[in-house]
Amino acid sequence: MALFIVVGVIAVAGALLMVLQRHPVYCALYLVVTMGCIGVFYVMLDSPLLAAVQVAVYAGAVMVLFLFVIMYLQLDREASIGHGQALQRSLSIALPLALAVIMGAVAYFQRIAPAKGPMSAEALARVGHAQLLGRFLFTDYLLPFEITSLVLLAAMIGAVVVARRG
Amino acid sequence: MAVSYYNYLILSGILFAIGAAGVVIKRNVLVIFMCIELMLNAANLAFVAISRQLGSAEGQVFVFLSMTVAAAEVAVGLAIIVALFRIRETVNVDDLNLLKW
Repeated sequence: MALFIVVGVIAVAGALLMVLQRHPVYCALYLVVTMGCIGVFYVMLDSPLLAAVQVAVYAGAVMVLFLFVIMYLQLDREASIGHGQALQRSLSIALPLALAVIMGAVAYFQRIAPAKGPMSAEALARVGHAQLLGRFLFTDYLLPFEITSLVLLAAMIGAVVVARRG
Repeated sequence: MAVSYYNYLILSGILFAIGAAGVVIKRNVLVIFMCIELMLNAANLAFVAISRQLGSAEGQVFVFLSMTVAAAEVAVGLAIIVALFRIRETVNVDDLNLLKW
């Protein structure tokens, strides 16, 4: 529990600093902190493969892409401050706060009874997380997994076409 | 002492709300995009937490697929932002009102 609280505080602080920070590069770096903390949570939830994918995809690929675009567009100057009306500004704080309270309350009061599925703790300990997840991905979820490759291919071609000069 | 799953859900809700606040508050399209990524991550965390509680693999498979889709989305989204910057010379959402009426 102590580890959860420490990492959770770091994750929330990283997310808050990202929102409060004006400089896009700092925003990206604080987001990396939060992504890393979520990776730690995956390890604490006995999902080491997802933690590895989280670090490789988000902290690696996605953030490098973000930083590359920030520097490519030379956005290292200060972004302009939001200048909405007072009502808008207070609502933009109050509504997400209400969202957090509602979601937290639902999560706390609407308890889910533990069930005995195929990915139980002893199965994870016996077979291993990557093996179990791989078995599911390549049997029950083979079609979605294959469609994912199509999505990636389409996204790759789409990104090249959209970003091409002219 | 083991951490109960609803602690992860509450944390996921907080992170999601911070991301939603960022989408509303920030003026830079790129930073808004980062906040969307944060919201996606919060949802993934809830998925994994409930999947562990139920002992099911479905949640983890969904997280796996949603990470892939998020990566694809980032590539396309950043390409759109780059194309937008070429046309309008700005990434401020207040100036990107071409489709607004």
